[in-house]
Amino acid sequence: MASTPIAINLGKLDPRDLVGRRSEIELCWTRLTTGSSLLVTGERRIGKSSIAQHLSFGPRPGWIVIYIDVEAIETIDQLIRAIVTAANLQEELPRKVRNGLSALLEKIGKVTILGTGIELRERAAQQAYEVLDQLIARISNSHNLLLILDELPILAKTLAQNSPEDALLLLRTLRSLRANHPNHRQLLCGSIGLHHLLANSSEINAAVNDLYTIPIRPLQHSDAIELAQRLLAGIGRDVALDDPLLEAIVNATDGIAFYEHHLVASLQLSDVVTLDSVENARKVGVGSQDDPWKTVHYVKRIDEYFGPEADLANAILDSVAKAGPAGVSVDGVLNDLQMSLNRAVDRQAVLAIIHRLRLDHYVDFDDSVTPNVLRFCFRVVRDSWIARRGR
Amino acid sequence: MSTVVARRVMPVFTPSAVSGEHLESITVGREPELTAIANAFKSASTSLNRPNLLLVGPRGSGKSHLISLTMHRMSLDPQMSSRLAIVWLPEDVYTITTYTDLLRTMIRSLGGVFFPNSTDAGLEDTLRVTAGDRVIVLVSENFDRTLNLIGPAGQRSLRAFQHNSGAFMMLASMPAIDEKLLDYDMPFYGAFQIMHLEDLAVEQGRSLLIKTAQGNDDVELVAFLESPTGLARLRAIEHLSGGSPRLWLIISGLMTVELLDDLVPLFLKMLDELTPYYKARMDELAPAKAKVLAVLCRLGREPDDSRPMSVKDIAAECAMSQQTVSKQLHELENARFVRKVKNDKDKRASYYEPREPLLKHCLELKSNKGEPLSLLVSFLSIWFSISELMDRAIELPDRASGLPTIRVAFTRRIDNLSSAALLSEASGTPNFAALFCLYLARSTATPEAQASELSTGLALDEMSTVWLILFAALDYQPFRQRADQLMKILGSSEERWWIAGSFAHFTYEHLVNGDPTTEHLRPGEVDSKSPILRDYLQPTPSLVAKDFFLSGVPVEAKFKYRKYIEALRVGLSGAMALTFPVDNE
Repeated sequence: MASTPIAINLGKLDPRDLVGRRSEIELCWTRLTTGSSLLVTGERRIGKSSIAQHLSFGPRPGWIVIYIDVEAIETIDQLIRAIVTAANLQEELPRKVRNGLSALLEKIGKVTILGTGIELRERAAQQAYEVLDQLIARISNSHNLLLILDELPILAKTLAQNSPEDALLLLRTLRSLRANHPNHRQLLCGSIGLHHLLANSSEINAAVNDLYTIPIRPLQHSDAIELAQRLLAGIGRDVALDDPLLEAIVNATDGIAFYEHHLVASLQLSDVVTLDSVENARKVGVGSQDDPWKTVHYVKRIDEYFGPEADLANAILDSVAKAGPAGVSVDGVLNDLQMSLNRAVDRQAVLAIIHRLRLDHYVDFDDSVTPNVLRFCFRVVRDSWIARRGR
Repeated sequence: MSTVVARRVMPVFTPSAVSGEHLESITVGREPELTAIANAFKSASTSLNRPNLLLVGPRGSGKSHLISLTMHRMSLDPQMSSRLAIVWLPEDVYTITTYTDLLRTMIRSLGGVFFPNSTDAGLEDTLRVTAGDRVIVLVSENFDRTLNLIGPAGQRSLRAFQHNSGAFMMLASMPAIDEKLLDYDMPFYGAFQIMHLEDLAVEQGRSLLIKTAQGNDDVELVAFLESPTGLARLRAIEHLSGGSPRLWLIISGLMTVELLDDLVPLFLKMLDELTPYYKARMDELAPAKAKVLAVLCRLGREPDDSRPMSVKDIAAECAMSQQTVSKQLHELENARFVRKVKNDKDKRASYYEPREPLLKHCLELKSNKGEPLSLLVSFLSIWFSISELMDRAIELPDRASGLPTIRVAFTRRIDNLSSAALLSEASGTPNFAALFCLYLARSTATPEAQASELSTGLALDEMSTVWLILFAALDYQPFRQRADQLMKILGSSEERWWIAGSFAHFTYEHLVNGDPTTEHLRPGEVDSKSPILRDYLQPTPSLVAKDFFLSGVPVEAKFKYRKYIEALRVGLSGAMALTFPVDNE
């Protein structure tokens, strides 16, 4: 039976075209309905926004979902305006409530962060809290309100550039709202940047530690196969579910939808689609100068993330990359490091770096073998690492 | 004599000013990209998908052409037209410097109005209301420029607007991917399906020119373009100019049979048109980059030397560190000025060459008054037709001075061609076997790889010929060893040897004696009383050559092996000596 085609799309996805993610979405709703607010984490382009948008596209009965991509927002008053505007567009809300929200918009102009004094900023945060507090209170009379703030780490980072306290004030304000409104939940989406933002500040961590964290991984294998099949159908190539092409595409992309779209996009421009063309597309994707799969940052960001310990992190990843799919034990890594760095290395320091690399989804332990071995989490990242580092 | 035809003027720098029908008529080799764009439009018009497409290619690669054609095709689809609201920003838009400007331009483009003091959020609302139920398609050429102008904050706003509203998709283009705009920390990281527009191959360029000539009812030109000589001329053009679609279009506006048959004036005309453009591009570069590029173009050096250069050599020439040169080359590569090429003899080093050969020639024209270029074109126009090359070599009044130059160029040409390309040029000429012999003698591939390559491109008789000539250049014992090895691969039969021997010998005859009446031997064309057959091929009841030489008449024959090989050795070295005298190396 022919599969339903899906168009290649690296922009905003039609939630109806979302393949898989049923368990993640179900988990989100389960946690939300049982009282938790959520922190959805994962690499950029892993699928966080698609899940979040799906929640807003098909909310459960009795829920109002406001989805806002906050990447472009630079101040708290802009954020509040965006939230109130989005709430005002919710047709499920009674007209009376929506009229009341319109009145809130007039207050927003007064909520600005003036000067640099902490008192002024706190006062502004207080005003922001009051506006949102009223908004939530009005909606909560008739509905549960889920507020989804996508790319929150970028907003926090933007605010922190002005003053580190601003980011903290925002996160504390959001936490207060969660705490004070039983019918209100939040879903905050953040890529790896949020993890680094939080790790650097226990205060910031305290402002979000009530959130239930849902890490987003690649698609389940069967879903990844289905996506590959439907993407191929979208470019006019119908294949059966057991066609080796599908397995090859999933294998080449680790079942990450973003890479699957990219790979099929390049197949779309070929005359024929074969296993060889899939392999060629993979090689170009992970290794070419133009960085079509956007993997260069896996190599480049190590310097930024690890600072003075970047050499050690690079050497560890070189060692794990060299080991290939078989993986390498920590002792094996230590041996490699002594040779590559030409100096003695401290085991604890290496373990600490490995821990951070695991948090960043570079590597993970496979405890199904003895001793535990370290492997790259994703073949795409490993292949890219080898291609870019020449290791 | 060619007839004068009325030419349709094609504005090669502004496809948007051309009618859709005409664009359609001169479009070649871009169907996969057009299909991908059409699919994206269809997806946006029938669902909540909002895909973003990015066409990447150097100036002249056909980005504007594709966009214009897409707009034309969409206008012919009433269903899609009614669902999409196109905002097509001008290619060089000077009125947009902020996100606010962008929103205002988009609203105006859709016929909407806004309050002068509207905030961005207000303008976004107005834009949505103006578009109504339609999905906005933001079409932006030189999108890198727009992104730069609206800055990171504007980019974040644009991306967030798309995600929050789902109001629009984007079709954009830029000459090269700008890392600063699309890297991990930037809003549009990974948000585009990127399609690189590659150069047109010679056959595609020829199709384009034929289509244009047909549009002008220039029957004579069409006939010439379809002839082997016409193809040879176009190969020369492609070699010198690269395969940029815009260059093919420029050629289409300039060419006549006479011009095309004599490449020099055609190129000078083309260079005249392009020199200001290339000069402007060079002027945009920082001095260090311009210097590296100029060195890579080998300005002021021997005109026919177009070999790629290593980083080390460029650094020495520029008096810069290798690290600095590498950085400059990396950025020049990203900007599509240069490209990295492989060098089988030195796999560890990075080699580069200018991406557009015409850049070199334009600069050369300015600095050397065009003389070396004329020489180069003159030679190349001959080299690309193998027969002409051989004839010219034979006819040269002063071989001592002329042949070495041809030989060097010829050798380089062979080095740069795949066997398939070489076959396509040389097949059917009396000299193709000698050419292949040279090619194979230079090849470092294993016998298995050579056999595989040849068997895909050569007919049985041609294949055998090539091998035999190659072996003939070897001493007897090595030849036998290699012959045994290869014949196993090729599934040898004695008929093949027989055929091959005849071919090779006639090639030798032709080359040594220079007899233009000697026909190249083909199956079914051999006189059974030929002295060649008498001397070298001995009829025998043990072998049957079937239809290969005598049409419909089976012939029993066997060649005199040792004598034949000897003849080949003598013949080949004779041919080589005539065409490529070793003492003039």
